[in-house]
Amino acid sequence: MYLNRSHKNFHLTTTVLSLITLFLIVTFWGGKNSKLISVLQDIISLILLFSLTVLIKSYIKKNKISFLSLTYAVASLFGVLLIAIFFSSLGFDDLSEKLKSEISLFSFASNVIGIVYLLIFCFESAFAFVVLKEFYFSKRTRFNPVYFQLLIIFGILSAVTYTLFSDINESISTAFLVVSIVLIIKNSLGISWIAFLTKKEKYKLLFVSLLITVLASLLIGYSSSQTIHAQTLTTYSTGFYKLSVLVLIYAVIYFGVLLFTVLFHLPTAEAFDRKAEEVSSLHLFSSLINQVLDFDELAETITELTRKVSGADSSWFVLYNDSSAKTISSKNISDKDLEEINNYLLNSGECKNLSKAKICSIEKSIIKTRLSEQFSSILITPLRFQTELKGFIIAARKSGLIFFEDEVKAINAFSDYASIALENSRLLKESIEKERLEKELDVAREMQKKLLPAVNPDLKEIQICSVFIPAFEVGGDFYDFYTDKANEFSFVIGDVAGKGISAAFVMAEVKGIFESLTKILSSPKEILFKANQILARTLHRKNFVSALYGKIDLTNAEFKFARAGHCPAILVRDEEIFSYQPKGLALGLDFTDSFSENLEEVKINLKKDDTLIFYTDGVTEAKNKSNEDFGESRFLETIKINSHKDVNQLAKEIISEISVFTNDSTQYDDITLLILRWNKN
Amino acid sequence: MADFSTILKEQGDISVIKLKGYLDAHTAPVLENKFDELIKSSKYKIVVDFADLAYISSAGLGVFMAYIEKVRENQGDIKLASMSDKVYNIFDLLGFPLLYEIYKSEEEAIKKFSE
Repeated sequence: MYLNRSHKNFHLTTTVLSLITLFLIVTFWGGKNSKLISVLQDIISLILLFSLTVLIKSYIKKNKISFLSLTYAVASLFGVLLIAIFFSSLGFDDLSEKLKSEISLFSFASNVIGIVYLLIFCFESAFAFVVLKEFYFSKRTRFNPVYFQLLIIFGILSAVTYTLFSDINESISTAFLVVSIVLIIKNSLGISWIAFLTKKEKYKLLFVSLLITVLASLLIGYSSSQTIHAQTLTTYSTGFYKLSVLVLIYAVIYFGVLLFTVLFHLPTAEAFDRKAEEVSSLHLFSSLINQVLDFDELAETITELTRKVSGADSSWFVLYNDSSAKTISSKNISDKDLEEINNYLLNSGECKNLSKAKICSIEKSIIKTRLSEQFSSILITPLRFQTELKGFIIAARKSGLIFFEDEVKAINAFSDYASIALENSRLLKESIEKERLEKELDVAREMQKKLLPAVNPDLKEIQICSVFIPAFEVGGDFYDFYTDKANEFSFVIGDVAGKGISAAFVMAEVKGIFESLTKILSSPKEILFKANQILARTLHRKNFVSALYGKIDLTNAEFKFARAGHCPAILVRDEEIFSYQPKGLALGLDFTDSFSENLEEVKINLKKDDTLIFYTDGVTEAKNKSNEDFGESRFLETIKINSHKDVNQLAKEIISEISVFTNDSTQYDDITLLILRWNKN
Repeated sequence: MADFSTILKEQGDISVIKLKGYLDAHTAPVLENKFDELIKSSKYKIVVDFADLAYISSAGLGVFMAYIEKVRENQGDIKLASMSDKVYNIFDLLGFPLLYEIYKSEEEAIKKFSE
């Protein structure tokens, strides 16, 4: 930092010192035609020019001044110079004479004016030189500093040789000058930086370069050796005078070439602008991918980008949700107009099988009269993910303007990105939702597990086996055993309609109800009737419950049960199967007396080795890959074949038969199986 | 599981909902929406045609329970028709024939409304 500053200060000091030295030289030796002094003056003025160049360059670099602003600055500087020359020719026509005269008050004052005059021109030359150098080195595809360096060398040579040999032979200097001009012409060709200006900027540049060319030409005109201006500068340094003219020539040629280059660029300027806009939009597309977290923000961006990419006045997009189109986001259009255009576009056959962007003119259609604003051309693009149509992006132009083919292409490319971004957003939302549901199901599964008995009762009269296989989504199956009463074994098996956490809650409630009822009542029919009454207060009609309640009197081998809409009870006696399906409505369907009127209780006197089987519909409705049910007949057949086996073995055979049948297809419902075998005579 | 869809058909003041596919906990909302629509437009005479229904789960049955009260309060009814034996067995197991009129054919169910 400090080094930078001292560096800058060094150049500033050099500038001031050179000026003072020149001032002193002119004061004391002005008018003496000494070659030594002339050369000294040239060297000092070159040092002055160099330090000014460095100062100006660092200023431009530091403030990052745009090229267009630089051309403005050059134009204004030239303007100032012209005024300075104009006033100098009016005010001090004998200035150079006074400068060359003996030391006097007049010559001293003139010298002050002269040195300021010199400074102005030095600054101008240095500035113009720096700007031209910046332009030369900007955006060159092939970096080639040699030609510019050569130009500097030949320019200086031409100036110095003029001072040295002008009285002997001017041709040496002229030769260098010619080479310099050739180099100037070479360096002025191949201007590429204007291509990146906008149309408006190009118009401005056209005007400024014209102005600079004219001003620089005028300045060259005023610089011919006879003018006071030329004489004043020559007094201080002939070399500098020559160089300043050379810089002006460079300016005329460069800005002349620039003028024509811009002129030729103008017809394509608009197309170029649009392309540039497209390119910058393409860059923005990639940012779409990062906005999938917030759907609203994404929608906003898509609408805005649509407008930019197609250069439209208004834009919006619609998504299909269960075959009805919904406008997600819109820009610069009233809801009413939007609805009209949507109705027109989406319901007319035109957009049914759209695979690419399409331009629809509404200039002649009837809906134009119904719109509050003058929309003329509409660009519609399908949003597709893979082959599925997700929606449409629509852009509209007002006041007679139509869309062009290249905008159609741009929108096509954009819609691909937009579809992907939208799809990603949807997938993300879905997976979040899925995770939430899975968490919920975890809770439901945990509840269900805790509601079921942990172990089966150990009774000498009855062998008990229970199998419960939960479905992924928790199907609502439940069962329970009651052994509190002496000489009595009771159980319940049931199924709550519905799935997941709501089914698990109903299960919890039903379990509580049966647990309390079994303590105060003894008849299965009564218990089911009472349970139905209690559930009437809380149960939603959708969540009815099927249940089968049974009771075995351990002393007299009497089995009683009632069925409330549940699967039949199965008795296997001497390898023969009896299925019992007494009348009975599921719990929670009907709360009138008709429930108990339609509920039958069945009584069976058990014999030794009688097997009782109870199940839920998860068994008979277990499905294979082609959606066929395991079914009652397969179930009963399996029981029949294995009925002589031990209860645990029998259960195992049934379950394995089911799993062979379903062959790994998804289990949609819980599977519950209770098997009891009467051991007493 | 497989798909489920409904077709709605109007016959005078009677609405016929034809079910197709698999009606379970996942597809039940489709049918619920249909019933909501009918009740919103005060159409309470409803016949449900089961001819093309392959399967119904307990959650599917729950849909009918959810609307029957409201429909009957408004002097209407939900009558069921053309059930396959398999579907009928599921209804029968739960005791639904006690609560709903079930007919062999759609025409029969429609005729019952005009009696």
